[in-house]
Amino acid sequence: MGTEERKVSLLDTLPVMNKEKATKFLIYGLLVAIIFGTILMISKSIADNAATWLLLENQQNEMNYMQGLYGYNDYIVKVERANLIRYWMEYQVIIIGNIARIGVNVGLFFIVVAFLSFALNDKFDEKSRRIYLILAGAILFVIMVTTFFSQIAVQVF
Amino acid sequence: MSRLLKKKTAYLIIGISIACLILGPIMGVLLDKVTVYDMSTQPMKEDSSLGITKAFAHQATLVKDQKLIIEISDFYPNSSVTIKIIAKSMYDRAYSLNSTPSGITGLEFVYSEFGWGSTPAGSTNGATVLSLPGNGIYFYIEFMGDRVGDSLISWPGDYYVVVYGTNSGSVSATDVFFDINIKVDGPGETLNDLLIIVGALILVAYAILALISILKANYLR
Repeated sequence: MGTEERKVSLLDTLPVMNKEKATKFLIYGLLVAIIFGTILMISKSIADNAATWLLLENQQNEMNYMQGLYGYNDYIVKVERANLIRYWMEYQVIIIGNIARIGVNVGLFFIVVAFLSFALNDKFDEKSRRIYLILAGAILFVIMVTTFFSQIAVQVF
Repeated sequence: MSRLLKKKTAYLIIGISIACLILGPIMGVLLDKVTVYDMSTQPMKEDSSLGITKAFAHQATLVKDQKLIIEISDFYPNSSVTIKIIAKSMYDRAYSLNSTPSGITGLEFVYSEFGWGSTPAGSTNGATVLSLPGNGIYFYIEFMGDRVGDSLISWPGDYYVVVYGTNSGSVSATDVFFDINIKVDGPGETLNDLLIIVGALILVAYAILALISILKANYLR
């Protein structure tokens, strides 16, 4: 009878991570959240500026026609294609935005796990651990709110 | 380290994706129109106006939604030419009978009169026949089979561009000259879209797979 090797899953190790691994989680979580957040903002910016892009494209199209680079029917085809691209520029935010939202939440989850690990680590002093726990709770609150609502808005009267 | 994250693999995949993204618009511009016939000072005899067998004729086959574009000009002294576009069946019949080209009814096309400040719709006209220099000395013609207003209707099939003319000089001067360039819509637009989509998909797929393999290597093992 040999000794049975127990498979340790990620979930088992999460709350008892050492400081180095938790810091690694924090950095990767931040990195993932920043990358997906940036993608989301770029996507939003493209959608917001779709109408301006269409104006520019239509002006260029008209000037190309005036120069005789192509005829009326090519001009019409390009107008229709520009309209299609404009609609895609506005619609892509729905696809990319939702993917980015998942990415940001995954990143935030890593950050929460890292802070929870700090909070459970008895090598830190009591005060720091309490702060880490509050931070983990706050980020968890953000994840929960953004999961059920589109965004968090603070209104100042 | 995952094979995906190796420097060589990363350079190769990103390189292919960037090549697709760059090549798409280049191919789109280069293959937007394909020249099927281009001739400066196209010679012809004035008996071309008496029988279609002597007239200039160039065949073009159009598939659905494909356009035929003809740029024709006549800057030569004493030369006057007339252009028509007819179906192959009609051309074959007229050719066998050596019919007079002026008696054949051409199909509908549109031509544009470009100019700064002129609106595209306002400077485009429809016609079945154009005479140079009578109607103008340069024309940009678009043809697909038929038209409604200034918009073309696609009738895929075989067509002939027919040009005939006369020389108004002395009796012995029978040569008629004109410049002609015939183009058809090429695969540029399709290639442009295809390459851009492929390039973007490769880049996005690689970014996602690389991220997953980074996370896997660090946490999920």
